[in-house]
This record gives sequence, structure tokens and C-alpha cells, in this order.
Amino acid sequence: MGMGSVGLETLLAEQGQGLNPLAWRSPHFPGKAKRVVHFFLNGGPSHVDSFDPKPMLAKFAGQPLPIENLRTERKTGAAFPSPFAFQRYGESGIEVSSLFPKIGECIDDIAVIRSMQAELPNHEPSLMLMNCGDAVLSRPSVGSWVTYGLGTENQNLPAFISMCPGGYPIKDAQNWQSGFLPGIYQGTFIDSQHTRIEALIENIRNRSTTRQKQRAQLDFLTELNAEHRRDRVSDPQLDARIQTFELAYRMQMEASDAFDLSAEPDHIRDLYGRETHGRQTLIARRLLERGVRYIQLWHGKGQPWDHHENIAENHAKLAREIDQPVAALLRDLKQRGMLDDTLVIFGGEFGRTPTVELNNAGSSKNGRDHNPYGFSVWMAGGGIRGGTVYGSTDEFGFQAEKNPVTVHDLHATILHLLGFDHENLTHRYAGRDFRLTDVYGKVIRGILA
Amino acid sequence: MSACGKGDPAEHWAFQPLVEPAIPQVRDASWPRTPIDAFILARLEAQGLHPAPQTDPQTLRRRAAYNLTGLPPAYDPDATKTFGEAEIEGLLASPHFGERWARHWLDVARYSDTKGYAYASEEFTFVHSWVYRDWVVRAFNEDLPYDRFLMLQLAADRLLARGECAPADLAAMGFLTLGGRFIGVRQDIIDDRIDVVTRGMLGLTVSCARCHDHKFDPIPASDYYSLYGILDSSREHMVPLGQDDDAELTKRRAALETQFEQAAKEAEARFLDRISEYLIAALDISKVPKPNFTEIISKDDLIPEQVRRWYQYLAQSDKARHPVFGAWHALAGLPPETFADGTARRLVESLKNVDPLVSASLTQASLVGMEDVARCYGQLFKNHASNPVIAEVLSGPGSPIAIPRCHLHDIEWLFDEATKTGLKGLFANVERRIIELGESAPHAVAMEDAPVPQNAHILLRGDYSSQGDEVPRRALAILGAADFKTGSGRLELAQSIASRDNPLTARVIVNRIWQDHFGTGLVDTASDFGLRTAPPSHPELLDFLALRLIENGWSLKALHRMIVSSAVYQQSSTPTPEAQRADPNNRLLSYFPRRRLDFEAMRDSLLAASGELDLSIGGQPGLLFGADASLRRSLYGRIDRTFLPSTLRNFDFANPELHSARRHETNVPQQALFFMNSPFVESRAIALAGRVAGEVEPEQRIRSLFQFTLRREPSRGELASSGRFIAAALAADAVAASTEAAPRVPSAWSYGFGEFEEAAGRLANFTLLPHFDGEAWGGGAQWPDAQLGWVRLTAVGGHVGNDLKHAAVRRWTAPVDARIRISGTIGMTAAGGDGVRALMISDRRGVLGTWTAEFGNPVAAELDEIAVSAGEYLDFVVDCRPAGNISFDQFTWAPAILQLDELDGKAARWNAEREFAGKPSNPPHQLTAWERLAHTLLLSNAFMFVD
Repeated sequence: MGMGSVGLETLLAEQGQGLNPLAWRSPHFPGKAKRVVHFFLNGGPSHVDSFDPKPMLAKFAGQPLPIENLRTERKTGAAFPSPFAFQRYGESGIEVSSLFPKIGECIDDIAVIRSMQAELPNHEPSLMLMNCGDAVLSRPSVGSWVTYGLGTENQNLPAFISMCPGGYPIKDAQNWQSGFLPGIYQGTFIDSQHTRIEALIENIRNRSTTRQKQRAQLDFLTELNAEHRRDRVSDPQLDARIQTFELAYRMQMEASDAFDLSAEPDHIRDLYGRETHGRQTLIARRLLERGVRYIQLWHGKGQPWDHHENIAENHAKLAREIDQPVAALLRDLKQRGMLDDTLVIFGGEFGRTPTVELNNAGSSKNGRDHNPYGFSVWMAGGGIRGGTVYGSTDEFGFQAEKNPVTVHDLHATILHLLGFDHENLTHRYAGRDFRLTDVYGKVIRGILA
Repeated sequence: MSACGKGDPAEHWAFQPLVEPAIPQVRDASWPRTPIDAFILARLEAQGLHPAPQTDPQTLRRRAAYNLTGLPPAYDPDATKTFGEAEIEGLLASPHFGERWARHWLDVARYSDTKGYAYASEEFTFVHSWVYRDWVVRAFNEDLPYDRFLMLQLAADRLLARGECAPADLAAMGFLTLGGRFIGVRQDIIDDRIDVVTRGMLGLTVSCARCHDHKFDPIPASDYYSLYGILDSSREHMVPLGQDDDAELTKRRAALETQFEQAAKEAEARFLDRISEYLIAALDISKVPKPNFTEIISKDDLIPEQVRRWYQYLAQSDKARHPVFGAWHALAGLPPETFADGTARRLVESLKNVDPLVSASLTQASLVGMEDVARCYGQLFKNHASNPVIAEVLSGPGSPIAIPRCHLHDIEWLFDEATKTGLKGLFANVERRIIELGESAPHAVAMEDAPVPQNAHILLRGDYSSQGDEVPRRALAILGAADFKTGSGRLELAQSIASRDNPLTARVIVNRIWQDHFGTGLVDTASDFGLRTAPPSHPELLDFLALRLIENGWSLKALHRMIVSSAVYQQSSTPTPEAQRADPNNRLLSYFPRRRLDFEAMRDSLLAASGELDLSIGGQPGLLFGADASLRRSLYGRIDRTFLPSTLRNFDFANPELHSARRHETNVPQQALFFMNSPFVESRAIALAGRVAGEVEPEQRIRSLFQFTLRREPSRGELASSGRFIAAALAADAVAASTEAAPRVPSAWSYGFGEFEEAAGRLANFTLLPHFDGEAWGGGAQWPDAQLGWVRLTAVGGHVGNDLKHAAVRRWTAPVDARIRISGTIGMTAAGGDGVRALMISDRRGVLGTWTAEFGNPVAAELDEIAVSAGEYLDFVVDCRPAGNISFDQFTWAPAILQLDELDGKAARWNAEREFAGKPSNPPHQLTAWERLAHTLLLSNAFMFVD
């Protein structure tokens, strides 16, 4: 049984199950990263239009590829060259398309994995695989595993937060589920299109009384609980519950503060941009600063990056929404000295076909279908060797060819960066010691600093 | 703590027959009240420990009431009244007993009122969840024998066919059919059912064997696929349980049936027409997409599920002697090169059971490989459809061509995408009508055996494209592995589980019940009795209880009676220091373990304290929280496995995605936030205070509050601290009332819409926006509003109105004469629009500035210094630009104003974001002093813990 699980199981079993399961815990070995922020471009961003240039597509433009099109969700036809120009950035000279010029400027902090592989060409199982390590079964999400293993550094805020403007991505809360782990490890969902704290965190504010009167109530509660406790032999669960009210009282202030962007100076707000994603990303930085362990930033409700049609216009629109905030976060973390121990992940559940999607009549829709065979994800920050390209797809970008990286490998690497041996972060459930990577996964050494 | 799994699995304690244990001899013969106690005491004495003394009757009454009914006891002024047999019988006879214990079983059954993530074409609420839940409640209340309880949940359809149960018992099969739908992937639906049956009823983790033989337990992969074959040979079946005469429902069913029939006929015609293509495709299953690889299939495509159906059909071992496919079977085993040299022909001629028509057409053709054989078969079916043996394949039971006219769930993948979506829509219409009709038209979703059951093949590493040996449908290997002969085998499976000879079934349920009374089972892994788990703390007691259960005709109430009457149950919850040292986890039960109320008992107790709890039993679920929250017991709250309210998760509710063996009992600040701030708890506090408002004497009020909340009198200390609190709280309210009586400083900000008149350089027709939704000011409860359209203002920005007459206007009214500086940035929240026009306009000085903002190019809207006079309006106006369009015109602009001429050394500041406010005319109710006292009692540990 793994260390992480020993920690918790012992905590729950031997301490009468009363203690806070989010208490800080140390990992297997000192990790380079202490916290994670994951930009989730849900819907499937196209790698051949962003981080994986494929000049061969221009050569075959409008003609069938010399290889057979792989089977995907829908039918695709001829080679479809990227409508976006690629340009070399930084000292590393890594090419990034015109979709992400500002991220391009940060490329020397980034390791691009160009040989990612998922399993199926459908959103639902691929979201489950990317988030929970299993395409089908109800398993804990990466963020749940990480908070299970590490606890949190700030009891006054949720340890694992998923923000998405406008509502849920598809598969809803399953994307940040705790599966068979205790419910407290589930991600807290925040619809970041809201701006008022009550809408952001449930029960965080009380409009029916004042802070002073609430304090008086809690003082009275302390007296009642002290009397209750006096008659009873020491019991950690009674003490633990008494503590939770004090924690909650402080959480009301701390959480409000974390989400209050009016406290940020103008130059920082302008760095991120004042739009939805700028706000969401800046809130994320404030949360990371305050010790939140794992944050997912989704692009939006549903599956916004799913551009089966007219990818030139649609991808450009979405990329404009996040290019500046993502680059701003990288710069801002760096200037605060936080990039060294914050892992930044950027990607979707799969990529898109290098061939054009066809409609029922067999003609082009100027878009791309889902592609689980090869796609790009990049990481930056804590423990990552910036300015790195790892792996490659075939000459058209259809499938991973050199150094293929499975989602399990990606997960193993994330856990490694946080200080875990992914084979030993386990939880006993249904007769088995389960782990995030199931029976798979190897750490991608080539991107480690 | 884990036992190493190295011994002979066959020797493992859980697989041994139940053995009647001797009642142990104990030194302190005066303590045991039941045989249970002798087993407990013997172990305590062996460790040199003593049981705790009997607890006081009031504590016992509360403990038993919560454990048996999930509800607090009634307040009884006589705290010393004994708690005895009559009280236990009263609780066991209560209709709320069944509700409490049903909820424990619903954890086992991964109960949910919704199907989990579903495509838009589907209805995602189950029609039958509450019908199943009510069946379970009834079963426990009526003390349905546990063996029959299991039989009905697995095979009520078969018992009904034999006249051995009532049609209403079909509801029991919700146990199987209420799992997640896994977006229709059959392999995963069946996996979930195997898991709930084996862990839930047998304490065995058979799902581990989906990919390979179980690593530790004697459960080979063949066990998994044997169960798979049974469940795969069963189909869903939606049945009305009551009156079924609703005209609308009949109409919708007919619409579905007509469309289904037509779609099935069309699909069958295409299947027949392309038999040879399907047979060729089925030759290599590794080239067929796996069942969970979803492609959008058009009518012209080969349907992957139909290819898989052919593959499974041909792979069944009984095809070797089949009059039509016996030859196929034989030829498929030939090396390809032997076709040319006549071996194939000679083989066909030598076959005995092959129909002459088949052998004739095969021997007449020139066969170079299996693809030729497939084409030959294709011709055969087309040319001889009326020949009886051919017709049998085309339309007989188990035909690989005919589409069974059964529940859509079981065959949906045989249709192309458009047809499937259409049928699902019609099916959803039927379900929606049933849901609308609710309690007047209860339905069950039962199972029934397919007419021709099929064995499953082992999937190597769980991979559909690597099929191994065929496995007969039979009992689990450790339970004897006898082949099942009847139908799917589901009835025989049920019999093998609900059997006194099954070593697991009785042990597992008595352990679950023990766990739900004591917090931990005698086996602490309630759903895993396998080799890697800790042995029972009291193995003989486990067997003793299991045998008594069987002996008492599987009566669960008799078991509860025995447990609750025991001395170990009636101990105080105070440990001795020696016990805490020697047995820190209290596995030996030298005292009763204190429990935190679980979510349901907590919510029910809040409603019971406030006198609002509606104790009516059964029926469709209601909402647990919110303005329309039901005041019924939490058991009747709608459980949505996709959107489980975070409050439930925070209180360790069982995850409805999965079978749950046990609830965690955590204490986290999110629980405290719920108690402190949730409108639900506050409403209860207000109602609770209202119950005592008639009492004149403060002390009597306090006493009554304790009686309602904790079902007892306050102690002297509690009375004193409550008195101090209320005195201070009343004083604080009096002070607040005097300050609040002073006129409120009106907000400098107001929110409206109007029109910029370019010629006059002013804002015309400023009108306040009428509705505040908690987040934004706008036209009405809906956004966009029918009259006012999209116009809207939030703390940080807003949305322009539909035209130039409906510009969004944030108005600042200068409270004093001042020189001010204005700062702020105007941005767009989404790419894709044509941007907005923003203006700053004074009603006295005209236009102060004009800006255009586009996505990605936020502009600073700043004025370094202007003078304003008291009462002057500054309007921050945003519209869609002349001739502009309003799509994506959501903007951010929250100006800040700084007073430059300081007064008394302090400059005033205004900030649109921070000072954003809703309707001032509608301040929320402020809890009164007595309400705050009532509220605090609901927060107390005395309320939340049961000794």
C-alpha cells in the first residue's frame, strides 16, 4: 500500500475518522512542483494549427494523403493545410502558429509534447481519460489524487478548484470527480462568469446577520461544545468539528479576498486582460498564491474547441480569448518567483485530424474531426525543462510516431513532478490498490529539468 | 493490517461453510444479555479489558431511534424512563424503520434518480427509481425475508412467470437497472451490474476479473464472463405496475412503436441485402471498432454493432453443428491455402449436419478463401429466403438479422446515427410522460431473458478484439461452478446467492447491519470478504449471527432486535484509558462508538427540530435544497448522479456512481459553512424560533428550544450560557435598530438604460432597470428579457441593449461638490463581436469622453480631473455602436472615482465593482436574537453526534 494511502487510511482509521482529510501531507520525495494549474481547452484544439507545424499538408493540399485516413468519429477527406502561419520563437526557436503569439513569446519556459495519444475519438471517454485516467469507469480525477496525496496548504479555501465560465463542460462534474475517494477530494466547481462571491463559493457569505453577531454565535457555540466535551472523554472527532467552525469563519474572509480582483493594480489587470479569461486566470493566480493545490481553467461550457467546421475563423476566435491570459500567467508567476514550483499544463482531450472533415454529401466543411492518435500538450514551470520539444507525430500529424506519450505517461509525469511515485500513490478499494495510472504510465524523462 | 493472500484460497475463512460456534464461557456472567454479548465479552476478557457500563436510558433512546429510524426520539420529560423491549418493538414497527434501512441498501445499490451523463436526445431522469426505492422501504418494513429480498431484485420476472410473486415486485429489479447508462455502452453497463451484484450481495470483487484472473481471490476471468453471459442474455423491459390508461402515454408509445417497427424493417432489409459484406467484416474482429469507439454511422455504412453481432453469433460453439453455419464453422478453421486444393470442398461434402441446400451451393462455387464463402452465403440467403432453415436464421429466435422488438436500450447500436437519435427522442417522450404522470402511473424497469441466451467469450485483458474461450453461464467457481440450464441463468444465479448454503450471503448482510449500528463491521471491509482483507474481529460471532438470520427465516428485524437488545449495544460511549491504549480502534467494542449524524439524519433532524418535517412516505423525489425544497425526509430527495449537490458530497454522501460499502465520516469546514450560512439551515432556525415565540418567560423559551432540538432539558450550564447569549444578543439588536433607524446613506450608483442623443450630446430617457437577479440588473427574470432585451449591468460590466435606445447606463450621482479623477478600462469578454461604444456623459457638462472597445483591445477610459457639483449625474454609457450589431457585446467596465480635494485629510473613493449592489428596497431578513440562539443550537456537537 502506498504512502499517500497509508497517510490517509491511518488518519481516518486510527484517529476515529474525525480529522481533516485535507491536512497537509508530504509526498514520497520532494517534488519540484507544489501546485498545478491546468488550462483545459475542452473540445479538442488542433495541434497542426498550433504547436505541431506540418508543411507536408500544404504539399498535399486538397489531395488525399498518401497514407490511409485513420478512422475517427466522422469521415474526413483530403489533406487540409493549416490556415495559420508558424513562426519560430525564443532561443529555442520552437515553432508556434499565429494562434498563440503571446504564448510563443514564453516558449523558452515551455516543453511541448507533440506525441500525445488518447484512446478513442469521442469527447466523453477522452475527457474521462485525460481527467481521471480511465475512459469509462468512475475513477478519481488527477486533482483529487493530488489533494488526496498532498492535502492543502490553505484550509480556508477549497484545495481543488475547477473554473469554467458559463457552465459545465460536457461530462459535467465527472471531470473533477473524486470517484471512490472521499467526497471532499472532489473539485469545487466555480462558474467564473459570475463575479459575486456568493455565486462563486457556496455558503461563503451570510446576508442574514452581521459578522459581529455571527462571531457572538460562534462564541456561544464554543461554550456549548465545551460543556458537551467536558462530560466526555477526549474524542478527536468532537474537537475536529469544533475546529471546522473556526476554519469556516476565517474562510469567509479569505475566500472573498481571493476572488476580489479590485485589489489588483491596473497594470496587472491589464497584463491578464479584463475579459472573462483574463479575470479567471488572474483569480487562479490569487488562489495559487494562497495555497490552493490544483486548479483547472476550462475554456467554457460544453466543448468550445470542437471545430468541425470553419476552423480558421473559430480557432482564431477562441485562441484570442486565452493567448494573452495564459502568457500573462506565465510571466506573472515568473516575476513572483512562483513559476519554479507551479506546474502549468495546457491542452485538450485530444487533437484534430490533419484531413478535412466531410459532410454527408462528401464535401469539405473547412474543419477537422477529433484525433486521439496524435496531438500536443504543453507543460511549463515546476520541474519542466523549458524550450523543449518532445516526441513527434508522422509527417502529416495524424498519429504519434516518435516517443509516443500516453495519457497515463502524462499523469505519471505530473505526479512525479509533485513528488510522487505514481505506482505507489494508491488507495485500497474493491479489493485492489487503485492508482491514477492503473497498470500503465512511465515518467517522461525528456521534459524534466 | 492486510492478511497476506498466500494461503490456499480454498481455505479462506469466508468461503468455508457456516459453523455453529459454541457460546463462549465468560468470567463475568452477569454482563451478557444476549449470546452476542458472550462473544464480545470473551474477547475483552482475554485482553484484560472490561465493557463500559450500561448507558443512561435517555442516551439509549436517542441512539436506538437514530439507528433504527434515522430520526430523533420524541422529547420525553421523564429522562429516567427505562428503555426496554417495548420501546425497541415500537421502533422496529415504525414505518420510518424501513425508510432508514432502505437508505443503507440504496448505498449498496448505487441508487440514483438519474442515468448519469446522457446525450441530449435522451431523458436523463429514470422513470422507475422511486418505485424501486419505495419497494425497498416496504420490503424492510414488512420484514421481507432477506433471501427473497435478493431473489426478487435479481429475478422477479422469473418468479412472476412461475406465479411466485406479485407484478408489483418487478419494481425490485431496479437494483439491476438503476445503474449509470455509460452513454449506452453495453459492456460497461453489464460491468456495473456485475459489480453491484457481487460486491453488494456476496462481498466479492468480481469486476477485478474483467481483464484477468483475480490476483488474490479465487475468481478467474471465466467467472466474470460467466456472469457477463447471464446479464448479456437478459434484456430490459419497462412495465406499467398500475393503471395504464393514459391517452397521451398510449399515443406516445404508439408513435415509438410505429417508428421502431419501420426502422427495424429498414435495417433488417439492409442487413439482409449486405450479408456477405457483414460476414466478410466479421472474419477479423480486430479490424472492427471496439464497442466504445463511437463513429457517426450513416445508413450507407456497415453498422459496427451488426458486424459484432455476426461475430458473436458465429462464435457460439453450438454453431459447429448448425445446419446452415456448421459448414462456415468448419471452413473458418481451414488454413487459407487449402481452399485451392479442394480440401474445402471435400470438407463440406464430409459434413453430416449441414443442410443439403447449403452444401450444394458451397460445393458448386469455386472457393478461394473465406471471402468467397461469405459471398456464397450472401447469395444463399438472398435466393432461398423462404427455405425453412434459411428463414430460421433470417427471422427465427436469436436471428443475427432480425432486430428484436425489445427495449430500445438493448439494441440501439444496431441503428445508424440519425435513426437512433430519432428513436431515442420518441423513447424519451414516453419516459417524460411517465415521469409527468408520476405516482398515478408507476412503472418498473425489469429484466427478462432473451429468447436465445448466448455464452460470452473471455476478453483477454478486457479487450474486445482479443476474444478467448467461450464460458458457460454458471455459478461462480468458488460456489461450485454448476452450469445454469434455464434461460439466461439469472434465476439460478439468484438461487445460488439467496441460499443458506452460500457461505457469503448471510455473513455479508449481517456484517452490513452490524456496521450500520456500530460504525464498523465485524469485517471492516463490508463489500470485500476476499483474501487480502483483515479477518473478522469476532469470526464466531459473525457465523453465529449469520446462522440465526437463516434460522429465523432470514428475518432482518429479528437480527436488529437481537443487536439492539444486547449489552454491547447498550454500553455507554465513554472509553476507559486502558481501552484507548490497548484497543485504539475499539475493534473489541469495550464502549459504544460515538457517531456523527450522516447527511440524511442531519437534514431530517433539522426539519424535525423546526417542526417542519413532513413524514409522509413514498412517491416521486423532491428537491433537497433551494427555494422549492421539499420538507420531506432526505430519503425522498432527488439524487442526481451527474449533478450531486456539493452539500451532499461535503457530508460524505455515498457516491451514486458506484456501489458504496461504507460512508466516510469526515469533519470539514464546508460542513460548517453549510450550518452557518446556508439558507436551508437559517430557515429551520427561523421556524424553530417561531415554535417558542409564544412562550413569555425567556427561560422557558430556552428550555423549549433545547427540547425541540436535542430532545432533552438543558443542563444548568447550558441554560446559563444560553441566558447570557440571549441577553447580549437582544442588546445588540436594540443598538442595531437605533442605528438602522437613521436614514441610510443612499448608494452613489444606480443602474439603468437610455439613449445617447448625438445631436444634443446628452443622455435621454434614462430608466432604471427593473430586475435584480442576485448577479446583475436587467429587464426581468429571464435574460434576455422579452421587452428590454439584452441590456444588463453587473459589478464589473454588462451587456449592451438590443439597439441604441437601450444603451446600458451605470449612473454615479455626485454626493458633494468635488474635483474628481476617473479611471477604468473598457474591454470585451468574448471574441467575435464588432465591439462597443462607451461614453461618459454629465447631465450638466455634456459628453466627457467617447471610446470604442473591441475584443483584445481594451481601452483605458480615464479623466484626470473634472469638477462635479452635488447631485450631478455622471453616466457611464455603453451601446452597440451606430449601425453595429450586438452579438458578443458583453463588456467589462467598472469605473473607479477618486476625490482629489481631500476633506479632513481624507479623500473619498468610489468603486463601481466593490459598491455594486442589488435592490436596496429588499434587504434580506436579519436573524433575530432568538433565531440566532435557535440557529446556534442546530450547530452544536450535542445535536450532531450520537453517543
